[in-house]
Amino acid sequence: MRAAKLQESWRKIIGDNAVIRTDDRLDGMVKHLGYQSVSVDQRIRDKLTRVITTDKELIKRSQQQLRKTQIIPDEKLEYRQLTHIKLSRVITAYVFTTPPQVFVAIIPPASDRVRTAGMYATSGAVYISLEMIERGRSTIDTLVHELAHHKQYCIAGIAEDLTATHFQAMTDIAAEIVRLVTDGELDYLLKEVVW
Amino acid sequence: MINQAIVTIRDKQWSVSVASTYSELTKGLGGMASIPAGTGMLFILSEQRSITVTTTPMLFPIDIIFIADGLVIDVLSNVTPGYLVTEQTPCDMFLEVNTGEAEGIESGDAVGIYTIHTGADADSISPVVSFAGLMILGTFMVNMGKTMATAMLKKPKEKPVLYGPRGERLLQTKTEIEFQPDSPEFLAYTIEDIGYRDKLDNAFGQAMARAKGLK
Repeated sequence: MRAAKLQESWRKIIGDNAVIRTDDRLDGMVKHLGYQSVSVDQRIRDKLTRVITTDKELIKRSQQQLRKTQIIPDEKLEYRQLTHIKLSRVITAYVFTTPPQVFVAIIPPASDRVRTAGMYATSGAVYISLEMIERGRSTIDTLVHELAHHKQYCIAGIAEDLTATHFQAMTDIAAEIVRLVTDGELDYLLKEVVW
Repeated sequence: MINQAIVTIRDKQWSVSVASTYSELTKGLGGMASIPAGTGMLFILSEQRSITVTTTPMLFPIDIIFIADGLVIDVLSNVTPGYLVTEQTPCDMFLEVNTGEAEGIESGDAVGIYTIHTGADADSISPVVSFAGLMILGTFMVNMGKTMATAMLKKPKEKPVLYGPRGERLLQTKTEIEFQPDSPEFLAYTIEDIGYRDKLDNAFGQAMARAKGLK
């Protein structure tokens, strides 16, 4: 009963998308999940964390959910989807000497507030959702973003959004793709692409 | 001065050398051809922090156990020579042992450390402690043959090889965030943000027209 009252008060006063901050390095990820971290006084934090979600709990739940991602085998893809994933894999092989794997997948929502369109796994895999693979444009958007995470992870040991390393990696990869496309290197794959 | 210790995790024990000074921390096990089974090196840091360990000067593969506040926070198995290993989670010590010896140890396991004072303080070791030390060493000797045979027969695990900006091999430890998810809105926003929306649209538009024979 008291826990329910505390949770209700928290929602009313702080907000229903607020979690307790335990580590400010997680702020970016929390924001990414549609929430915001709020610092609370150390003296009451331990008691509050028993009933209010912390940033770590939110992320842990999200990661557990994302673990349920289901890869869709190529043979189950429609022709257009297959065209787009093949293009993605060829681009990936051009960009990296040790390329990550690229899959089409059904990716669960990262939280109750955001959908997941693309995902990078630090094991070295890029996942593109069915929604994004439908069109060449959204496929390439996703690919650039997720490949940049791979590059960022290889260099800096982190895969994090809204950072200088990710921004730079995205810029480099997008520039490389524009060069490949402009030079006609991918023309043989583009006939069936739906932008 | 502490330069020896007994480290216990679960049912495993190691008799280890302790590295705590700058020169000891940087030298580590580098240059050594091998170490006996059941032994290793415990690196004690001056403060809790994330740490990068190099195995470049090493001559044999090792397992590395990262420790913070008396608990295992991460275990890396079969790290071969020539790697840079970065532990993202701050730790205050880490243990290097022969490869295969950290098998079964997991994050959250408690770490028991029994330090042995030597040098100027050597005389202060009580006979009881010395006897206990001998007993533990005896246990090590019994297990040594088994451990060595297991290590020799064990096939090394395959690891993904990543390369850093200077061509060095990188090996990253697990972080709390294994999956980095992105929403459709955020993906589109970041392409705009780097200034490549029009460049990508134009490049693909022209190339697709060319590929379809429209241009």
